[in-house]
Order: sequence, then structure tokens, then C-alpha cells
Amino acid sequence: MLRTRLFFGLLTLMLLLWGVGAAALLLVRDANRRYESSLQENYPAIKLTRGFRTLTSALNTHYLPVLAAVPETPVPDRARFDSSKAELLTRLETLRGAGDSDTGWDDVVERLDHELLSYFDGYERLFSGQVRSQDERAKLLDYMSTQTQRITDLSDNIFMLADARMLGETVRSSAESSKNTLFVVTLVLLGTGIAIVIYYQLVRHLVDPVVGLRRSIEEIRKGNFELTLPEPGSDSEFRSVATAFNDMAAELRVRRGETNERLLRTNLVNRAILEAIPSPVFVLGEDGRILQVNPAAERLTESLGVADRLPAKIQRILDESNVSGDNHLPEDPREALLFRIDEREFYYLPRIFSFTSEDGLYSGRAVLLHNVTRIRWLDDMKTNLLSTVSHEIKTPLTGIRMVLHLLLEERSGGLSAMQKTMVTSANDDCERLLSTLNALLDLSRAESGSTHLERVPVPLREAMGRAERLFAAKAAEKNVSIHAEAPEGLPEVNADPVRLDEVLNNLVSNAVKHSPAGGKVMLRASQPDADHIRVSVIDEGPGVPEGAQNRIFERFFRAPGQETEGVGLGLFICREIMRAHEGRIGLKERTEEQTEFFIDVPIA
Amino acid sequence: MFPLPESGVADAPARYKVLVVDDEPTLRLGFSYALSDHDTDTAANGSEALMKLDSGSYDLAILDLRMPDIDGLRVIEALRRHGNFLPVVLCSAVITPSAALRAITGQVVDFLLKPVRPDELRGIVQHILAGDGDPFAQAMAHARAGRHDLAIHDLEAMENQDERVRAWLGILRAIRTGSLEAEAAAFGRLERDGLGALAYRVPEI
Repeated sequence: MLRTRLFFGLLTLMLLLWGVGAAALLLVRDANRRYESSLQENYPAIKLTRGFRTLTSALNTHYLPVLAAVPETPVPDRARFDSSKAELLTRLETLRGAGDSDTGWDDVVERLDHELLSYFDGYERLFSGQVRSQDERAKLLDYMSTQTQRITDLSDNIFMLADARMLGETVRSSAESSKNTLFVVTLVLLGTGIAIVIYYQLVRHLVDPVVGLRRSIEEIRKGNFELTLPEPGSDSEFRSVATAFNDMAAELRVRRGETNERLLRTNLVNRAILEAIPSPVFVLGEDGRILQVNPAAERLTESLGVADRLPAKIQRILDESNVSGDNHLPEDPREALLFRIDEREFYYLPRIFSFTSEDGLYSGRAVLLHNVTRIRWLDDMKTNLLSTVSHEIKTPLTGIRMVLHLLLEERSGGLSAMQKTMVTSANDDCERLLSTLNALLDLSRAESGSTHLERVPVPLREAMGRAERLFAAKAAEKNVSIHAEAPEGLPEVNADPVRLDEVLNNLVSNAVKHSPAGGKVMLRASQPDADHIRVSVIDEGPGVPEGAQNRIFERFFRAPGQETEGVGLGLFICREIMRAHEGRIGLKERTEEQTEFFIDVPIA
Repeated sequence: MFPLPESGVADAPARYKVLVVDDEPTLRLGFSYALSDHDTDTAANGSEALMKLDSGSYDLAILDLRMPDIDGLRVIEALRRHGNFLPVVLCSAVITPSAALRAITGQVVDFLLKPVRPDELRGIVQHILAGDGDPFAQAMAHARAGRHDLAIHDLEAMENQDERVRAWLGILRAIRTGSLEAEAAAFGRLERDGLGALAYRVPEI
């Protein structure tokens, strides 16, 4: 592990540092001590040797002048000599002790000892008083000065020796210190070596993998997922990083594979969908260039001779809707565009819608050409059929009715009671057939005409008034009263007045029809929400049977047990009309013996 | 050939010569019976009708729109080309807006929607030939003579602006303007409302 390696490497380095420091301290202390001990050893010797000369010369100065003086001059008291002698002997002993088995040293000390004894000997002779003659005195004096000289020389010798010994010590310690220097230098070199090793270790185990990782990341950024990092040994922290990285690269590889696959699949699905659509489809980019067309579109453009382009008529609509920014989604087949292909007429309804990707980055438009040729043909057929049927039925019916009416007028002769009943019955059937036929024609008109509203602002009060007036007479016959009430200041509604009247008339007609004698029919305007005005038509009839309430707006539905005439189209037509108005029609729950139908008409 | 309306309602109604043109025998019979107060003649198809109208003099023709050989509109156009401005009632189960426009420009302004009741038939004859003196009949008389401006003027002057009057005003104004757009608008309105408003109804008195 790099961590342990680093730890131990740095620990070694640290120990080395500590070692070098400690060694240096020790060495300095050792040198100091050595110097001090040599000083301690040699300095007293030097001091002692100095003492020999002073002491002897002091003795000589004190006693020897006697020898040079006239004879018979008394010799001074020997007390001073004795103390000096003891002093000298002590010093000698000390010197001898400081000799430390140095032969040169001991030898000189021995000789000093010897000379000292001779010296003392001389003084003993002096004190004994044996020396009387001038001659003898002179000889003694001479002897004494010689001895003194020798002692001085010897003590100088010893001083020299001590000095030499101190010098030798210095030389030795300097040799020692160069050895120490070598030692410290070695340690420092060793430390440097370890540092270098640690550096290379760091570089190998830390920097190299990071650099490798960076390169690999750049490779991946360029899209090269095929690359794997070499896995470092199991003791490296980077092993997990490299593994994770390789896993990531592998994952990316898989993902890219999946994405590619998904793209391919989506593409395939898209193509399948486009090819399955029988209508020509053009997918356009934001700039209006064609991105994709389906085979139907290819066939269309080829047969129109404008391969790979939008037909000019469609391009124009596209440009228009591009300017307005709206989708162009016509429903009415009458808005279809005519294309002539091989002498045949085709009607295509262009449906243009724009699309935007979820993130809003990409957008485009799609043009779907809905082939309404057949619808148009059917529409024409229906119109023709309707007029044919109505003509073919109405013409004979007109004859029948005419004849029946003439018979009933009894212009050409009276009818027996029986005959009259039969002709009246036939006439009633004829009338019913006619009203059914008219209702059917109304229905087809409502279904086909629901997109052709001519909507203008309409004051609802007036529409309600018209319905009230229209049915007043009919209601009066049944002894039913009609009241219309609308609050002042109601906003106008956006409606086709003719159609709106149709709806209101139908509702009021139903209300009157189902009102009991003496009942009341109410037309009431209100505003249920911000966008609509409501007209309620309320009657006091028996109401719509429970089970029929959900179905009353269905085509041809007639509530069971209903004996009044009708084919069950009125409310259906009303619903169609209200739907075309983007309004509502409904039946409220029965309350207080009242039935309430309502319509909600959008406010203008 | 515009017959002058007779003054007032005579005690004995005038007898007119009416040609009934229809391919349906029952209807020819019925119409003839219904108009037994007048002298009626019948034609079973367009060519026969044109022949009879060319040879004899009639006060009025009741013309079916759909006929096997020459349809009602072409009969009208042929008549007008020959300078015959006889009043014509166009009678059909369905009158399409384009047919109505063609008829009006051919100076035919009287429409009957099948199925027709006998009193409607009698009423329209009276309305056209006797002129019941009401302002609407006057206006229609102008329109029948091709004097659309006068017709519009009379219609505008009417007090009772009911659905019938408004429809006629719209159509006549559109035709007078002569612009394609106005005609298309009138056409659209006709399609929407059906021709109910233009057709003759028995005046509810």
C-alpha cells in the first residue's frame, strides 16, 4: 500500500533526521568534554611546573645571599625552607599522579624528583653550618644555582610535555571531528537517497496513475470508450479508482451500445409508422427543409413531378401558418386542396402541426396530407342522394296528400262517415310520414351544417322573447302560460341566431308539449360561469323518466310511453347545434315538480 | 305578359288559364282538381310544356323543377329566351340555392315546396294573378318583372320585417350588387336556412 510505503519512507527519513541531529549534538558534546578533560589534565601540570620556578627562586632569594655575604653571617631560619620543601614535594607528587603512564612524563618527573632532592640536600648543608669557608660557600652557591637551573629546566620540560600533550589532544579531536563529518555527510546522503526513493515512489504510484486517468478521461470525452486502464497491483489505492474507471468505461460502452440500438429501433419504429400511414407525411426541420417523407409522400411528389419538394399549394399554406405560428388543422373536407394526377382529381386536406422536443432544443413541423377524395365523393353522393330521395319520396307523397286533401274538401262529392274516417286516417299517416321525412332532412342538415355557423353577438333576451311569442298561441290552446325573464345587462352571446332559435324553439316546444293543462313554462337567463350565459326552460310536466335521462340526447331516442308525435331527433339536433357552438345542453335534476332543460351559450 | 292585378277581391273569382307541368300523373290530376276554379291544362314534361306555352296563351305555369327531359330551370330559360315573360311557379321537393338563384335571375320568384296542399296552390295563384293588395305581393310583383330595385324599396318600406321579407331582401340585394362575394354570401345563407323562407305560404289570417 502506498500509504504504508509513504509512511515508512517518511518515517525513515524522519528517523534519519533525528539521528543526524542527535549524532551531531553528541559529537559536539563529546569534543567539548574531551577538550575540557585534557585541559583539566594538563592545566594543573602547567600551573604546577610554573610553581617550581617561583618557589625555588623565592627560596634562593631568601637564603642564598648568605653565601655571598661575609662569612659568619647567620643563616636565616629554616622554617621557610621547610614549608617550601613540603610545598614542592606535594607538587611533585601531584605531577607524578598526572603522569598517566606516559613514560616520557614519568622519566622527567623522576629526574625532577632527583634534582629536587639534590637541591634540598644543598640547603641541608647550608643549615648544618658546615659550610664556612669562602670557598665552600662559593661552591655551594654555585651548586645551588646549578640545581635551581636544572629544576627550572625540568619544570620547563614538564610544561613542554603538558603543552605537547594538549596539542596532541587537539590534533586527535580534529581527526575525530573529520570522522564525525564523514558520518554526518553519510547520513545526509542516505537521507537524500531515501527522499529520492520516496519521490520516485510517489511519482510512480500517485502522479502516474493520475496522469493516466486524465488521459483516459480525455479519450472518453472524445468518445473512445474502448480504452481500459491497466490495473495497478492489489496494494495500490488506485486499484479501486482504475477498477471503477474501467467499470464506468464498460458501462458507457454498454450504454452507447444500448443507445445506438435504441436509436436504430426508434428509427425503425418511426419508419414503420411513417410507412404504415397511408397519407403522405412530410417531416420538416426548423428551417423548413424536408427531413423525412414516407413512401406515400414520395409517390405523391413523384406523380406530381415535384420529387423531394412540397407541392407549391402546400408550401404556401405552410408559409402562412409559419407566419401565424399556429397549427393548421382543418377538419372540413371542403378546405381540401385539389391535385390532378393522371387525369384524376384527388382532394388532400393539409394538416400542419409543429412539434418541439421535450427539452425544447429541437423543433420542426410535420405536414400530413389527408386524402379526403372519398369523403368528398361520399359527401357529394350524400347530397345527391338526399335530394334524390327527398324528391322521389316527396313527389308521390305530394300527389297522395293532394288527393287526400281534395277528398276531404269534399268538392267532388260528399263522403260517407266511414269513408271520411278512412281518408282522415290516411291523411294523418301521410302527415306523419312527411314530418319524419322533414326531420330526417333536418338531421342531415344539422350534421353537415354544424360547421357552418354564422356566429354574431346575439342578445339572449330577444331570442327568448321570440320563442315566447312563437309558442304563446300554441300554449294558450293548452291553457299553459309562458314567461321569459332575463336580468338586465346580460352580456351578448356568440351564436348563430337562426340555430339558437331552433334550439330554444325545440326546448320550449317540448316544454309546452309536456306541460299539464294550467301549467307554467319559464324561460330564465342566468350566468353560471365567466364564459357562458345559461337559458333554462322549466316546465311543470311529469319530467323525463329516470331510466331515459341519459339517453334523451341520442339520435332517434324516444322516451318510453311517449304518445306525442315526433321521431326523437329534436334534442339530438339541439345537442349537435350546441356542440357546434362550443356550448352545452343538459337536463337538471328534477326539483319541486319542475323539469329544467338548460343551454349554456358562450359569451361574445 | 304581366297581367294587371284586378282591383279588389271580386265576388266571383276570375278564372285564369293555368298550365300544370309535372311528370307525376297523380300530381297533374290533383293540381287540376285543386285548381278546378280555373281553366287548367297539363303537360307531362318540359318539351310538351314548352310546346303548349308557345302555341297557347296561359296566365300562369306551375312548373316542376325535376323532370326527365328538360328540367324546370331550362324550361324557364327557354321561355325567357323566346321573350315569354309568363309568371311561373317553381314547384319541387327540394330547391337548391343555385337553382333558386337561377330562377330568380330568370324572373321566377314564386316557389312551392312539395308536398303542396290544395289551399297553398290556390293561394299562390291568387297571390300572383289577383294580387291580394298587400305590400309584399306588390314587392314580389316588382321582383317578378325584374325590377329588383323597386322590389327592394317596397320590401324595405314594409313594417313587418319577418323572416320571409328579410330573406328576400338579402337575396335581392345580393343579386343587385352582382358581386361574386355577395352572391356567395346569399348562396350560403340560402343553403343554411333552406328555401323555406322564400317559398310561398298560405297567409295566416
